[in-house]
Amino acid sequence: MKTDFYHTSAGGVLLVLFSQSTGMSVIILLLIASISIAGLFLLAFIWNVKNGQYDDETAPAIRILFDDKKPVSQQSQHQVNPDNTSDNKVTTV
Amino acid sequence: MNKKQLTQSVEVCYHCGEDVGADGISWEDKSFCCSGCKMVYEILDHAGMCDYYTLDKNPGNQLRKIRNDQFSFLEDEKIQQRLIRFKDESQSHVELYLPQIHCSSCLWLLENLHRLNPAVISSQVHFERKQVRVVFDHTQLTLRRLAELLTSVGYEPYFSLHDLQTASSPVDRSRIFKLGVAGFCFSNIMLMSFPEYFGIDAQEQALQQVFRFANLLLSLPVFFYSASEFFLSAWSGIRSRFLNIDAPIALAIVVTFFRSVYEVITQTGGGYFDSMSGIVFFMLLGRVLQDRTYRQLSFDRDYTSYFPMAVTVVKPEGVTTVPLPELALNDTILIHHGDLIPADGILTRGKALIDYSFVTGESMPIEKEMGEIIYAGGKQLGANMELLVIREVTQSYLTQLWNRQDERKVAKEKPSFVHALSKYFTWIVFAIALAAGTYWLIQDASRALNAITAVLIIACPCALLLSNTFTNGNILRRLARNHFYLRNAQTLENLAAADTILFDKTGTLSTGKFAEVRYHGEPLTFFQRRCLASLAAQSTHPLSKAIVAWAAINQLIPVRSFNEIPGSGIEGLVGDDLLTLGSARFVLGEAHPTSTFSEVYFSWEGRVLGKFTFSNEYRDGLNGLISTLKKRYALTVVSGDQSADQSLLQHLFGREVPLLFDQLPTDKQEVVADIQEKGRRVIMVGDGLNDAGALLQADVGIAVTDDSNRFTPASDCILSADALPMLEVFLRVARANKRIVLTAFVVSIIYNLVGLFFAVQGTFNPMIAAILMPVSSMSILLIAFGLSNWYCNRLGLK
Repeated sequence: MKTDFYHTSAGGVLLVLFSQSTGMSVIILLLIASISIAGLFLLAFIWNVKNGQYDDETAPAIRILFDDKKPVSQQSQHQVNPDNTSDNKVTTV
Repeated sequence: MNKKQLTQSVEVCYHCGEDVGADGISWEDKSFCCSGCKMVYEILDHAGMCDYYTLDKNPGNQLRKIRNDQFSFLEDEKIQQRLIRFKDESQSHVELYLPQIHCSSCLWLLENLHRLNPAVISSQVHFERKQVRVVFDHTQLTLRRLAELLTSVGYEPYFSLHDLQTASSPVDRSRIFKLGVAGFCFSNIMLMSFPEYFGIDAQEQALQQVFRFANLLLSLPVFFYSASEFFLSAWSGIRSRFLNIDAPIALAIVVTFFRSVYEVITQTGGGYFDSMSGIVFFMLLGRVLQDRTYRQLSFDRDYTSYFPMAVTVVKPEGVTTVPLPELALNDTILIHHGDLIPADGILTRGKALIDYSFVTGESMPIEKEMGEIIYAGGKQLGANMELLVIREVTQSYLTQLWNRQDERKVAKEKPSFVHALSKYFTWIVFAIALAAGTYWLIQDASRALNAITAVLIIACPCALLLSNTFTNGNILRRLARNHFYLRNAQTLENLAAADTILFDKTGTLSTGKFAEVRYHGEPLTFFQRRCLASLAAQSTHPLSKAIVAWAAINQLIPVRSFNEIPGSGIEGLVGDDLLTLGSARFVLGEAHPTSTFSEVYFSWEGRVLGKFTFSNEYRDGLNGLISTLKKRYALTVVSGDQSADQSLLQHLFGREVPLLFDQLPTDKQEVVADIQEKGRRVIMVGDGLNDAGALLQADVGIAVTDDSNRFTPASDCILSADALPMLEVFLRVARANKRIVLTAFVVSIIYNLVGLFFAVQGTFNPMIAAILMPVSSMSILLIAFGLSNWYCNRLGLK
């Protein structure tokens, strides 16, 4: 029996049970599964490109090396608000 | 030069890395070159942001002095509307162009703006575009204050009329999507074609049919979406009666697709979906690599990129800021020192000392008196002046200069040699297909269609296209790494075909500065030199500035009184002595003819001590460049400047090279056109607006720039000034490009011949196709990258 191979894993058992109950070959199920997963990656790729994640190839590589140090709070005339409450607002837009 | 300065100049500014020099400032244990740099350091020190200095060494930018009202135009409602991308009750989003962005420290500082001013909610840098996107609370911080905040730490935002007139267009990413889809389909089809390659059990025939239909389904997006640009390009070529390289490729794709569909539906075979999607994928990949644009560069600048966004208008009720497009006739505009003149006007107040070097190439500023017409495009070097606008911005002399160029743009496109080659190729393929078809019609009619389609599939010139796009793409990339940016791949071919090179002088061969000052006459004492520098420092004329730099004096003596006569010179009482500095006529008396500006006489209490001569500073490495270029190219120098440096240039270029001086922008263009009429292909190397016409007229226009992010006229290539000595090497690479493309093509033809051997016999099967296609694509890829990289390395390119 060809299906013996698939009995060795739990997922395989499920697949075989499902295929026997619907009358589909297990290979076809695997085919659908693999193409859907690949399709998800394609969607992720398109989403990334649309999002502009590949637009700037320099900045993210540098940005990741910065430490998130708490700034030393010092009174100065250049700061309107010396508490620096907005420190954790470094968000990406 | 005194000893003290020599020892000091080794030190560099902690902020910007410039030589500290004589008048450096020491503060805490750090030294700064100017008070501006020190101020930025203080601001960052106060905010606890000295990380800025640890990320990169001396990362700062020298602070440019700005007027208090420099950014007052940002308070204008209309200008704000154009600049602010998004606004709600509490926050505004704005994208600002900061040409100073250059290192990781810049990135860090700009993304930590909220620590300098809490009204900034967030900021994100787009490094390649040198932009920062700032989200700020506009109830606490105005756009103007934001610009001033950035300026105070050394990042002065750059605003131009261009930003005001055109919205930035979204990036076209459709080709990337097409590539992604093709890659996805290609890999999955490949996977599902394995039963086709290795055969399948007789009992599983039904399964085979499932695989085939799945392949058919997966090939639909490739055929209808990813390959669409080949069809469109082929169609537009055919409509204009030109068989471009996409025509045979589109034909091959169509033939492959329909034959495969036919085979699957009639259950006679598996088709060639894998080969078809593979070839589409590789061809798209090649084009993506080749057409990778340098978004931070602009090859199509027009005058709006240079003009300011707003001007100061003097009205009876006071001074206001007006967006430039709203400037009307008969308005009086106030031009500050260093401002660009945006419209033609009559000088009504103040003295004009205008630097037209950008428009005409003339490096000496021109003095204008009240009542004279001043043309747009110049830069005011003198103090504030007022102008009565006599022509609107769109009608000015400068604008007309641009507009005339647009007409000439279209005729320049030439088809690539690849298209010509593919035409022959296509006819040969048709002939073979026809021959095979007729042979089989006679011998065995059932195999005729099979043979014809197989020939068309196998012999499509994708190999040529692949070798072309991959080689071009790689060479463009290598050149860009050496700061030579090309507009597109066609430029490579034009560069290779050129046989004549024209050079502009000011700004291209020379830096536009007067570096070399020579003094002829009685030797000056230190005191005399000090007095001389003190007097010259009173004037903004570039020659005076050059003399001040030459004298190298730290402490100047206060000048008791002085008088500057435009166009002549300057006299003044320094200490108790009367000094005169100026043209021969001014210093020596009426009898002497007015010589050119490049000589300045100096007298002390009525006694002439000597004169200064000036020469332009030429770029490094010119000697080597010119001697290597001369071996292959006809050279000419066209300059808008006076012939002051003629002997020096003649020495540099040699006797046989013609040097043309006093060339107006239109003259330069005509010179190029004349040479072209003799059947020569011309490369024009220039920098300013005065070369813009010639750059466009030439087969290839190369714009030389000290900063590739600003101020280059429309051109085909942008060359960073420090890479100018490499020009000869770049040209060699461009010439090698064609040879590499052809080599890769010839190698790939061998694969085609093997395929054809099977195809004409009507025994072409998916297995052979599945081996031939990737193997030939891969070997083209290897040859294209390998050869071009090897050649670039050998020539010492980065």
